[in-house]
Amino acid sequence: MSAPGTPQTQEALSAVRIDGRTIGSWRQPAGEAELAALLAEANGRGQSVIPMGGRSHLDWGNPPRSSDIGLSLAGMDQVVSCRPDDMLLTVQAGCTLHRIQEELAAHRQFLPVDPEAGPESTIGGLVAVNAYGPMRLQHGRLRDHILGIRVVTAEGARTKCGGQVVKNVSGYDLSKFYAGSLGWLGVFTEFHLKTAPLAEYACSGRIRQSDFSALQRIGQQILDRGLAPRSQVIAPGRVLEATDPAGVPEEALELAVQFAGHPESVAWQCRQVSELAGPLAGEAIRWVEESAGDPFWQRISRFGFDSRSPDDVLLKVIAPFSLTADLLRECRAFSERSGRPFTWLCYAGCNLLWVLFPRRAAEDGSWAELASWLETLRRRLRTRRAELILARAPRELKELFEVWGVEGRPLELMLQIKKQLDPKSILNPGRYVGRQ
Amino acid sequence: MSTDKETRKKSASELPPAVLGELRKIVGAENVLTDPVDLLVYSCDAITYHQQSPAAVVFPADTSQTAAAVRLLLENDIPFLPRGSGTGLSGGALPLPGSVVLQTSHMNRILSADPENRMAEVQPGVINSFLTKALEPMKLHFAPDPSSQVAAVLGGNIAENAGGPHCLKYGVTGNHVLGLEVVLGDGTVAGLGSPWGDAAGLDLVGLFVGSEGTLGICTQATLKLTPLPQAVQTLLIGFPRLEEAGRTVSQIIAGGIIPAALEMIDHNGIEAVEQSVYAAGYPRDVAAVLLVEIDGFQAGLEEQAQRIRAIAEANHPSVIRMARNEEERARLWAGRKRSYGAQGQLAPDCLVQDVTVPRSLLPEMLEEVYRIAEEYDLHISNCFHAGDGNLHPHLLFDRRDKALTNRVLEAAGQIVKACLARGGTISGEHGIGVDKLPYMRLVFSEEDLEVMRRLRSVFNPRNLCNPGKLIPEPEKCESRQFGADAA
Ligand SMILES: Cc1cc2nc3c(=O)[nH]c(=O)nc-3n(C[C@H](O)[C@H](O)[C@H](O)COP(=O)(O)OP(=O)(O)OC[C@H]3O[C@@H](n4cnc5c(N)ncnc54)[C@H](O)[C@@H]3O)c2cc1C
Repeated sequence: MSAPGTPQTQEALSAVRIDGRTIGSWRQPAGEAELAALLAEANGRGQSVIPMGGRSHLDWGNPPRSSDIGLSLAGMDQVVSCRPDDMLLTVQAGCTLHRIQEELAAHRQFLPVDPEAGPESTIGGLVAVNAYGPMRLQHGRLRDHILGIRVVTAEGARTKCGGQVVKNVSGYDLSKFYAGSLGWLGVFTEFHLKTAPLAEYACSGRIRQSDFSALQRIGQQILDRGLAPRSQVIAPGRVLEATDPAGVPEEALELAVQFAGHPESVAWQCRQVSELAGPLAGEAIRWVEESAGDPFWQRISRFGFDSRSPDDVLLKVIAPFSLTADLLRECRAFSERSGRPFTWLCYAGCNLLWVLFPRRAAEDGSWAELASWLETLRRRLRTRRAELILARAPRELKELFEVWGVEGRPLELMLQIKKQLDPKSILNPGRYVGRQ
Repeated sequence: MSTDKETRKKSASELPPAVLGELRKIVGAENVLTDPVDLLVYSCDAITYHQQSPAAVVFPADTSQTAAAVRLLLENDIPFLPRGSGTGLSGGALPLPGSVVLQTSHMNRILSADPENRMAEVQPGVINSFLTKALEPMKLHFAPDPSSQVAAVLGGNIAENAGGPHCLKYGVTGNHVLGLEVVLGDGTVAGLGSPWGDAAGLDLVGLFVGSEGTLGICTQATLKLTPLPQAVQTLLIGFPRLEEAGRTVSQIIAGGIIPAALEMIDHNGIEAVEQSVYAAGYPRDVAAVLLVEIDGFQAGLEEQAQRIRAIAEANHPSVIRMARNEEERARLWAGRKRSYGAQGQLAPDCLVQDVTVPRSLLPEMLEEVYRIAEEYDLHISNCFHAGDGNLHPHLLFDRRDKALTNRVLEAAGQIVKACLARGGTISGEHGIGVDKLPYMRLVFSEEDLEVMRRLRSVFNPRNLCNPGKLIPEPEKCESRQFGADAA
């Protein structure tokens, strides 16, 4: 099957593994009609299909139960139309985020998400994981910028939802609903996206301190004063420092905050931060003016993804900001007990904490201790309506500890939805909630 | 459908006495209405040309009463529907014959407000503006501000995914809902979403918001709160020519400015407002005014206002005025937000159309609306969310004049079609309900609709929860197979 787009070399494809599993055969449809026919056929035969974009998040989710067909969307990578006056962009699902940002930059616009995304990451794949990066604080997740989607169902029906307008309540709001569904309900083929103006000016400040609660207080006050940072994170200094991380004292922590927008308003907000942090900041705040795509924030969005080691364990904890100190204490206690070092990054203001247990030099393959600690932690978090998701982990751990942690009535509903939209369960079987 | 005595009597007697008795046990006898006169209030929402008396109206006090009532009605095959304040403009709260209305107005408590985490726990019967008022001391507000906010309740806002003038900057209701407690159409209770904003798995909250009561009944919600802006500036700009008002709208947005609100009122709209008790002091010798509000920090706001002025000035306005104080600002807004009510003195009935087009096509679409008005010999005015491309042509009529009513309905359909021809959609914020149901097939294929029906069947398997709304039923009776005609 020949198609335009990124050529996929045979070796590259045959090397692809999903949690150790190889792909039966590869298909790369050139358009939606071909894709629909392909899915209808696979559905008829009960063959499993793993849709793929840039393959950057293939280790996301539980291990697949089967993987008969690898479905590459690389043949559908076009920008369909760009209407800067309407702040509207229509692209095929295989279009990369890089290409989208390049296209929009020419009109001083952008798609306001900054997720971990390699040059090959496609919009389809990123919507499937509802991607975001640190600018989530101001701009939300990818779902918030989708106006309409074309979706081919598991049975091969070509469907659409939403449209090209910014306000739309015609039918269920499926464009939002499909975001984050991990290619489990259908294969996306095209998106109408809402773009945003590029900020005129951006400025970031960093405050170093060894006391987490002092930084947390500053972070909370920034929000309480009604300031509107684009991004705000707290992490060990070594995580944030690019040039010489080892030179940063181990106990040093940093809060990094970015404001973007009108220069006067940015400057005023920076002054507010300097003022409120003054007595707590220890050393002076370092303010740096920035352009779009600043490497500092790009590095932050890559946290936990930098090393491609399949033995890294990355946790995503969704819990109130005020609980972060307690969570870190628990992580430290476990780390000391188990001899597993860890590092972390907190999206302050988004109720999100990333915890990374990097692959150990001598990984002994025994994951039971970690799994049982995670189980306890998840149960405890649940009492606060908080959640723990295993964002990246080796298959062995995922077999012991289910990735998503959805249960009860919501799980039942999700499984029934799956049954309705993909009755034979051919799309990404096993990878999503309830190991389905 | 009719409201004559015949129907009213019939409705009241439709409920089996045993069911009525059980309902009274569940919610208390005083919380069940069956008297035909009492039921009249619940026979329609704000579009009064669809009317049908329910069989009964029940006022549950909480989730468990709601769930018990739903289970009882399911056991007896009786259709039911949730209702908020009945300000809906698509007939979403219109009962089908023999339905029981579950009126949420007794669930009207703000359960908690948490300024640190910027969220509030509310019951569905809380009036939108009451919440915002209660939050004022914390310098927070609930950002979605439908023009009906003094009457509409949060449950209704959630069910319709309501918008409002300030949704241009802050987003529609869906952007402000974190979690929900719902009694599903199958009588079970489910907690959806997470107060911390990012529940694992499918986005069930996102699906429920805007589902118009067809998936279940929201009995509690966790809402996201937004800080009140430090400073606000409101500009009134009048244009002798409509195209130039429209062009100004696109140019402001394309210029990288996202105002908090960007509304347009045309000449007829201005006249209606100025002749009413809501007179806002809009200039009367213009084709349209724009109401532009910017908010944020004091720093930089003045320059933004200057930029908006500069864009407007290049489009030959006849008036540019800035509200000098909060009182002036409130007056300008009252005129806009009461524009629908202001039509009341001009004609007994008013159909508000609600369609959206890509912003740059606003001037062209408005031209078309006027052409249609002329063709059908109608009085039309326009007061709408221009920044979102969301038009609200108001078509005035008198329901007793059958010929005129028919012309209005036909013209409303023509407006929908004109909008679709320009890449727009059939509803921006008022929903589909029963009123727009016939247009759904102009937008969606049978396959698209089948996806929605299958999703509905998960939550509302017997389709007894607000049947006949939002999704047209299959044309053929047999259940459709997907992919049968996929090429
Ligand atoms: C003058 C005027 C101005 C308006 N301006 C705007 C505007 O600016 N923006 C806008 O978006 N809309 C506007 N509307 C429309 C309307 O006010 C909104 O749709 C509002 O959200 C409806 O709320 P309600 O409480 O009146 O709901 P109702 O009319 O009672 O019900 C609406 C729908 O919601 C369902 N429902 C109600 N409560 C629940 C619940 N607890 N759980 C599940 N489903 C439920 C009902 O079954 C029905 O389908 C306006 C209406 C009027 C009359």
